[in-house]
Amino acid sequence: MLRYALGRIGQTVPIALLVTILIFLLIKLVPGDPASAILGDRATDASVAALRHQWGLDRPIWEQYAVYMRNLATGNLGTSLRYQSPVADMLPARTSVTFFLVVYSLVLSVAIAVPLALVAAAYRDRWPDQVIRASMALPLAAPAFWVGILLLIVFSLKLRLFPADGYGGGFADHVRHLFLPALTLSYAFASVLCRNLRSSLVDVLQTTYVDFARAKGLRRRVVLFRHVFRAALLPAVTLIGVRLTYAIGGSVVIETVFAIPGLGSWMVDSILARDYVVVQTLTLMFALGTMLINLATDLIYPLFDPRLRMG
Amino acid sequence: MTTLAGELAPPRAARTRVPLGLAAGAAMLVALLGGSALAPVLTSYDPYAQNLNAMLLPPSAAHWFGTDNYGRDVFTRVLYGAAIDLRIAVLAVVFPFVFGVVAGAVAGYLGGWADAAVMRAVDVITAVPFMVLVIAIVAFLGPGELNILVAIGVVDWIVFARLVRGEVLRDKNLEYVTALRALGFSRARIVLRHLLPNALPPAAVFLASDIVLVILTTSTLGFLGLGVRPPAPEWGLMISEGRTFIYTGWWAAAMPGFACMYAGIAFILLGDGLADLLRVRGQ
Amino acid sequence: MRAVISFVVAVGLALTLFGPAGAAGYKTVVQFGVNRAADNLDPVTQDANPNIWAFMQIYQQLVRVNVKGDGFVPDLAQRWTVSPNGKTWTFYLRPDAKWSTGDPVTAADAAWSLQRAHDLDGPWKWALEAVQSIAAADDHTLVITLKEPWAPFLSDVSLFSNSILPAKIFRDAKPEDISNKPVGSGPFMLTEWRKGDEIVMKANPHYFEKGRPRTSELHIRYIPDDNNRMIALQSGDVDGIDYPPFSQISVLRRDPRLDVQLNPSTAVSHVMLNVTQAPLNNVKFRQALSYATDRAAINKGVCYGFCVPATSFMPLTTLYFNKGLKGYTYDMDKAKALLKESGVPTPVTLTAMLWAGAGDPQTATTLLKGMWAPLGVTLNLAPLDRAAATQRMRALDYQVFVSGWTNDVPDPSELANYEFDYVTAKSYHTGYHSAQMDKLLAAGMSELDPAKRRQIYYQIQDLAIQDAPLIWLYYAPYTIAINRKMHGFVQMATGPWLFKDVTVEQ
Repeated sequence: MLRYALGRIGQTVPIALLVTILIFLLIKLVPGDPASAILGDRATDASVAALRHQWGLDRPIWEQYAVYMRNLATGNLGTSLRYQSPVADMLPARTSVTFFLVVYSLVLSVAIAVPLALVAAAYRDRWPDQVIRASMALPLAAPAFWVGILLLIVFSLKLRLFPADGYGGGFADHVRHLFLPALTLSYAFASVLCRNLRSSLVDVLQTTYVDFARAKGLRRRVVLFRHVFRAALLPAVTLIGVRLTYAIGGSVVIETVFAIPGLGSWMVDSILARDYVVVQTLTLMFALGTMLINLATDLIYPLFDPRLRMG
Repeated sequence: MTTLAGELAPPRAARTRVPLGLAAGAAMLVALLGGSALAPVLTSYDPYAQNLNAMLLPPSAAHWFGTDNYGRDVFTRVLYGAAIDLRIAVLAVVFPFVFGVVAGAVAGYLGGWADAAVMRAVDVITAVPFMVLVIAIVAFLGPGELNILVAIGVVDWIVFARLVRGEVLRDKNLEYVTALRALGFSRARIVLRHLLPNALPPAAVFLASDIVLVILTTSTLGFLGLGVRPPAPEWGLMISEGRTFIYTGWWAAAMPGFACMYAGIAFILLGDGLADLLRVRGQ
Repeated sequence: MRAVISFVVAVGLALTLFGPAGAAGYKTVVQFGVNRAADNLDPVTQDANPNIWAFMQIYQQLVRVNVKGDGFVPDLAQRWTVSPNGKTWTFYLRPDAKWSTGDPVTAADAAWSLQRAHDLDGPWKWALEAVQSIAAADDHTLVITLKEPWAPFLSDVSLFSNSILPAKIFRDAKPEDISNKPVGSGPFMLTEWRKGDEIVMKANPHYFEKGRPRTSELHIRYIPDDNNRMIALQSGDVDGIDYPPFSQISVLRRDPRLDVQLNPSTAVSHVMLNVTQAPLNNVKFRQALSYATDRAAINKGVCYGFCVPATSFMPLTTLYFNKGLKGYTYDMDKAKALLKESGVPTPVTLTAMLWAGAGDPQTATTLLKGMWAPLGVTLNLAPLDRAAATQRMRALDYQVFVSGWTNDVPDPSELANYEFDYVTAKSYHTGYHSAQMDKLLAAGMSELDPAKRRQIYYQIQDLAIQDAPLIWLYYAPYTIAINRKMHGFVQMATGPWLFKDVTVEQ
């Protein structure tokens, strides 16, 4: 197990390096010039050139990459071109917002999906199952930003139940401020999780060891919860990992819709301002987050394997 | 992107009834495509014609979906927009599908350095969230339809590659393949004639749900101002332009959203139905 | 007992009227939602309204433009004199002004700040171009000598880039150090800046005007989307917002809790034309486009009737604005005739660059597309992000671009030079260059007699209309919506907000 874990971690490192090159090349080739954008309409050509030089934008691309990697290695994440302050200083506050949002959306998804999946599986092919499956198919087809806008109209504008922007101060305030965005992020996740969990529950219910457990005389509900549900969690864990990385990607759009000061809205702002240092660092952060989640999923996976437990 | 494929994995119990979803999805799509193609006949409005005396009119008999802030008929624009969104969706998945299937088959069958190269590329692209990478690439290339196709193409092929590679890996050591090899069949022939036909159906099933993802991505890019150029009636762009008027004209943003959802459901049904059909065949 | 009651009432009244920040019944924090985030608070190197409007709470200048934007009021300088030859200006600083650190503001600080603004190669360098030398005569007297008499000098000194900063603290500072930790003598001081999110300011305890600011904290929150910002206001999350969109003004006005203001501005919205390329190098063709532009329709489609169609390149409130001008009135027949005269073969295709996601300019460009079509001109829209668009504009690598200007000073020279002097900014990045115009611009800078100057700027306006390197669309008011519980809020015609008198009822 330890060897497996170390090996899996070892695989991640070269990939992370390749990812930095990919990201670096992408951003460097963008047409348009950060110096012009920062100095604005009224800057002189000389001051634009001076700023380009100051930032090393006139040096060969590989030199810039080498400098970037050296800085990364020493924990220097660069200086925001737009705000002229270290990205590392601005990162923690925004990361915690996005982290809160993503975990919140995960909790909401599980809270929505698990009960529905259990009901659907228990009533397989009867009307509760049909209704749940049909209603869970709808969210998959709706654009998240559009659902966010609809939620904003109904719950913020009409009902005045939730705020329309920001993060608030304090845990309770965060929960209130991020409810709508987390719900928006979670609905597609809940839908996929519910459908997936239902089908694996149905599959497990048909396997022999469930029959065996039933034969032992265990009550139906006990069988469903103790044996079937645990077995069905196996694919769900993988799925949660994959969907978490989706939620990270989705946060880019949702934070923009709900004006939340997280990494995603910062990313969109920075792309529009050509703040390439920030875009680089954020893309790297998103990638690192994704790689960590994938790693965690792979490491957790064996723990949930029912065959190991049954044995 | 593997999620939709995962949930569509063939169950063990086969259903014998005709896949209703397939028929329903196909019917919905035909209706949408037909409506879009016949749009000039179906409505008397021009999707671009401005009429500042008819700004933000609510839905009525004259304007089924109301009008937007330029006085343009939203229903007309939604219909014309279907051509844009569906065209992008279909075009955007063609390259990743073909490239992904070929790369996956080659990687799976040859193994060794080919497999390593493909899989490292897959790993790198997987490491960046889909939406983040697509947005970054479009930001790099600039907005526009062709650039959306390129961005999605660069990112989206990995799912098909992984899917097909898995299928090929599983099948290549089956007895009949070993037998073919022993009989001296060429690698290309084994892959093309025997392994690919078995690997394609799951990829095709996934294709339907991938189109849904691409429709959502296109509209998201339009929403962020990185998509198709205004004043094109692209659904995401329409939502983006219409959302300023949620107080005075909710229909301008809501209607294209429903259109997006309608198209998505059609493809989901199509995919589910296709999966059912293949299961029945498989039995 | 009665005495006690009257004492309590008196104290209560005193607190209400002159009360320090946080008096009973009032909020201690003003929350204000803005549509763009500040990114640089160094007055000399920055170039954007969100920055200026934020740091105007922190810094003072020698002289300030008045609220209406047509004259000057004392700020750090109590009074000023100019020598008979017009070359020596003496400013007498108020002795009671202090930095937020508690140290006194001296003429040496002012001399250093202006020298820095003069020397630094920034976007506002032109404002002190006429200056020969700057010197502190004593602690509170500043003497500025000019190379030649300079008509708009007071106007230039009032510019935000000539804010006075503490020399002792910033003598060796880089622009970003000033931006990140600004120190000034204004009503507020920066305490926390979560960039791209929120600026937190606290009342400067050493501000010279006693009892101001009346609220102890000011939070400027970045809420980019119009809907989020309006909902935040209506739900009481913020006390006021800037830029509610024109389309929503009438809706917001139906909410009795809100005060929706249309404040006079110095804004002019226009279409930049790249006159260095065919067919836009053809003046008749540009005139044809100008006549084919229906300003009334644009006022309706973009501003929902809340703007004024533009008749000159100058904003309405600018000194020497010619009220008698009609500009280009919509006339499709004339446009078609001019197009024929121009010899430009139709159909013509032009590409309009626009900032991706920009609201009003995008609407205006879309409307132009509809208006120019009958003329045989196809206008394609090409959204670009701000950076790429700015770069193209600078390189004269575009055809048509809808943008806008806001005056920072009442004098017309800032805008006239930027817009028609090739050397300053390639004539607002249109590439327009006219010897006749150059002569008029130079005359406008050196002529000291107001009546003669007026005539010069009238001629400039006429020539601008005739040559049409830009198409001027409309004058938009600043839109602001505040909760009626907020009192004392003022927005200046040059844009900045004044928060020092603001109180917010609980």
